Amino acid sequence: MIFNIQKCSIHDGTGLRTLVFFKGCPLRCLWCSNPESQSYRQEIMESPVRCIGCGECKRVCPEAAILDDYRIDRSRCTNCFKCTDCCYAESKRVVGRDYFVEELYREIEKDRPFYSLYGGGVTFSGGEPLTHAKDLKEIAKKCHDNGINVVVESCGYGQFEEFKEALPYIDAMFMDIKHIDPETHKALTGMSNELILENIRRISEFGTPITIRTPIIPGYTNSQENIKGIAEFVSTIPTVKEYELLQYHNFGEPKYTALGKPYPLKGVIVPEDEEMNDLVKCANQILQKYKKECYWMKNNEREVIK
Amino acid sequence: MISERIFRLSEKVRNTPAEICLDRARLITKFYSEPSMEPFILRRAKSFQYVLENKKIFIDDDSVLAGHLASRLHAVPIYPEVTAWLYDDLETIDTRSSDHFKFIPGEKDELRTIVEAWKGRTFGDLTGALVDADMNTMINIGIFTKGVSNLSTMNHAPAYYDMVHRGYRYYIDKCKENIAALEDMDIDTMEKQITWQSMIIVMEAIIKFAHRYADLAEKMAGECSDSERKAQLLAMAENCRVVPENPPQNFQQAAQFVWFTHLALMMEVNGGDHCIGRFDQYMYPFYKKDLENGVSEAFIADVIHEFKLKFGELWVLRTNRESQAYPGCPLWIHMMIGGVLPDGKDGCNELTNAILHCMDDLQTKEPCVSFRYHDGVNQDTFRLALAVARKGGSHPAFFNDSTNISHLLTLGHTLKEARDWGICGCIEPSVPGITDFQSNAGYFNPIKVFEITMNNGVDPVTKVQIGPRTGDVTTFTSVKQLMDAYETQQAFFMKKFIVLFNRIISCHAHALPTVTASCFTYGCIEKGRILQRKGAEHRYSAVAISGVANVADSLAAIEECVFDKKYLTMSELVKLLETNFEGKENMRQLLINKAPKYGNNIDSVDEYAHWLADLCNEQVVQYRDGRDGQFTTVIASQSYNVVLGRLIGATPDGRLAFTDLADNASPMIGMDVNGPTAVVNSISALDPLIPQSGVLVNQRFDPAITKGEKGLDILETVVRTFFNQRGQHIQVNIVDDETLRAAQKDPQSHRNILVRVAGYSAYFVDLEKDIQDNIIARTLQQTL
Ligand code: SF4
Ligand code: SF4
Ligand code: SF4
Repeated sequence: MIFNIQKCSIHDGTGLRTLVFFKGCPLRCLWCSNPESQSYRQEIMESPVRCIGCGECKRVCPEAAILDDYRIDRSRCTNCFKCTDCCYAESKRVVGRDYFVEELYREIEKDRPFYSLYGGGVTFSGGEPLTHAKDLKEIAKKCHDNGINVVVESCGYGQFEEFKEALPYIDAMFMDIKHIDPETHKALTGMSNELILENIRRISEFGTPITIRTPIIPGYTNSQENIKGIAEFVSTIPTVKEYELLQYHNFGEPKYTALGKPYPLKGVIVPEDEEMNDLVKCANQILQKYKKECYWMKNNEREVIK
Repeated sequence: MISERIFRLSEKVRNTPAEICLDRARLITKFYSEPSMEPFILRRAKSFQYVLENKKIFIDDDSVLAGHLASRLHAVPIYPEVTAWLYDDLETIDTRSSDHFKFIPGEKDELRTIVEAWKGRTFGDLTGALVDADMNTMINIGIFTKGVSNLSTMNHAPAYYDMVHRGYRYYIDKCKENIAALEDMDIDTMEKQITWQSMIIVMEAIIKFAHRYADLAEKMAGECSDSERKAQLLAMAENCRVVPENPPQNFQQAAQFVWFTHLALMMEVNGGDHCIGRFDQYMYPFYKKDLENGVSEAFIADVIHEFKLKFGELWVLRTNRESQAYPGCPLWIHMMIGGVLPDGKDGCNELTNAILHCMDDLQTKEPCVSFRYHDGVNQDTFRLALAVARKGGSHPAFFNDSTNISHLLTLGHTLKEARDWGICGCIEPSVPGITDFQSNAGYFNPIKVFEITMNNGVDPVTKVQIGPRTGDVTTFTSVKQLMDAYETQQAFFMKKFIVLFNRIISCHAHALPTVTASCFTYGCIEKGRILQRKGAEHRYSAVAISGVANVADSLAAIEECVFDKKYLTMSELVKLLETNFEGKENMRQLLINKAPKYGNNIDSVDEYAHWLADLCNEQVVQYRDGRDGQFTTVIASQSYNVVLGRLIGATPDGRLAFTDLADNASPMIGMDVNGPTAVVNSISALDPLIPQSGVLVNQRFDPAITKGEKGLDILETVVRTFFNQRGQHIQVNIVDDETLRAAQKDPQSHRNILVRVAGYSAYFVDLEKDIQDNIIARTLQQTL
């Protein structure tokens, strides 16, 4: 199941890219900026600003789950999608839809003319694409066979035996290590990092070029020990040449409201550029010896502090 | 970095309020008050001569190039003998919301007297008498506009590439030789003789006009105590003695030459959209020679800046309606740079880069600098051009050699000619020096025709049965039926439109010649015919098509919501449109959200855009224009999308009554939600190879995504890929909503934000609120 296809992205790979987001993720990171990506099922997102107050949703809801302000009382809702069908203003809409591989490929193929310059292509993201092993393999193969550069963005949590079939068709991967300490990792994301680190090793052994990424979330992942720890780990992975730190942003917050969920990171502020620089420097002190590089992106430019 | 002198000049040009100058109006009225039986061409030539001999001239303290349009900086002359509308619009010239002009106290009254004297006798009255009553209704309700009826023919593109090596004397001698070779006289040879005599009069007059500046500069030099300024004035005097009579000897003289010529085109009569041509090509030899002679790059840069500011200073007076449709006073004076040479090699050179660097330092409203792209374009120069456009000044615009050259080949040019193309009008390719192109045949408005089709030939706004009865749409059972009905309606109105234009253009041939431009367009001197009387070998006129997205989206909405998914019946839809969705907002939302929209790379709706573009073109190209030229189409609206939108009721795409239409070839405002790649793919699907005069694409990007080298990569990728898919033109606006909103609140501190309106740039703060809002509403292309 796919929850979004985004054209013309410049992040997550080289050149101009089409981002395909798989729906469903085994992790529950507190800061997740795509909360609609977590569940493996269809969900309803609400955007009250688009509501025109026509009242149709309230009229059709069999569970009387629509409140007076036309918001959904999620405790009553059974996800029957009757309300989304009649909400022409798309104030309530279903996220997540199944695609046939052919159909998905046609969508990706539409932007093929843009891929040739600066090494563009498709990036599969999520959610966690590696947990959609069969679909991932098929679509990645189709793209790969047709000469489209394939990148996968992953948190690393999946069964190697299942997703290894997809690896031959993947040109590069972005893999997250949110925290180096297994316990903290579990506390922050719901799962320990052992499987993730193991997968990174095995994917690297397979020969896939990997960029490791860490989201810098003040108070959660931004300690120097954490970054150093990850950098140490990175230095042992042969096909990792780059380590990117991602500056936390709170653009995901409205999506929590849209899904009727609380935002766990309320009040966390975006890390200062200074701090990003310091952390990058910290990582580079370790990575330099191994001819690897840490950076973060500011205004579309790489900031490499040594 | 710009010099202090250029900074002062630029501030002056930008901060001097536009004013009305009565100098020309007085002179021309006086001239025509003297009785004469002379043939009209000769009389026009002499009237221009009289103006040039007597108009007030001045030299600005910071200028090294001579020549201004009027008697004061940033003032505009009046053409009372041409403009009939002045009688109606005069009172609001100084108060209207868009492009208003100040009067010197007392002069408004004087102008009123002048206009009164011309009332009923102007060129505009001549053309006005040819508009039938039904045509008038069609204009008033917004089916089409009336082009060039109150001005001379436009889009002059002199053969500067040869002129700068010859000087006017060469052309005068040609005319004299031709006259000397005449033997017998018949009515045709008489016309030739008159034409050559007129040309000689005009060219000599312009030379003398330059000498007047030389005299003034010498006089001022004599009184000047500052040695640097004195030297500048003496150089100016010398330059004005050399050019335009003789070939220029250096870069500055060549710039002066082009400027005098352009100025003459504009002073003779009130047409616009004249083209500077391939400036980086014909100026290159002068540039190179100057550098070899030790002239500094900085000096050349200053000349380029001042040359551009000269064009930036030019304004024209338009009708109230036009001042809203073309806000910010554009003149579409294109300076072409880059592109292939006639032999197919890349034409980018050091001067191309120097011009771009100048733009990087200082953007001007005019000239429109247009960068010609091709596959083999110098990568560094192309990136530099993109970086300059990104900086926010919105120049240069980008044009695709391959599409434009193929258009010109289909219009009958040789490959070598076609490769030397320039832009005349907003985006229309033509070959300078050999073409008489008319970019302003008028705007044709398909969505109005669609509205009339939905009402069986009746205009629902005025309730007039204006078109044929093509059937009650509530009985229709397929989109095909509706499209057929539309086709019949459009054919009916298109014919009216063409007939009207041909009447008007015929008036030019019999009353309003442009002699200066005729001197410098091949064919005219050879044949002894002015442009308006078929002087040039290549002649075409473009019909502008607006609001394509609204028609495509409307058809798709009807197909999807009425015929396919049956959300509503045709009768219900008609009722909704009649009532402007009153109390039925959810049905409007249905039409918006449940049907595909043009601009998102969705075939089922993009095909309708293609169908419409093709249909318009087929219906247009079957006619010949009044000068036995070809007709072409151009998909462009300028800001008529706002003006015409006010005349059109609710439409099936969910657009509310009397609101803005989609601009140019763009998707409807806010409907393109899949990013710039989807937009350009949709436009490619429309097929930019069909309209031989182009497809205007305006794409606004968020500054955040276009930052850095990677941001430039994006721009480059979008532009290159669009052009690989036959795109003809694309212009980028890179300024965020916040900045524009701030400029609305505090215009004074945002006076320098240039935005792309449509084929031209204007200062944002000079625009009317409506247009400003429309520009902000145009979807900002962001990526995440
Ligand atoms: S791994 Fe990514 S998608 Fe999954 S919860 Fe964490 S941030 Fe969200
Ligand atoms: S159906 Fe949609 S628009 Fe209508 S009241 Fe419900 S949420 Fe609002
Ligand atoms: S999806 Fe939930 S809120 Fe909507 S109609 Fe069904 S039960 Fe009611």
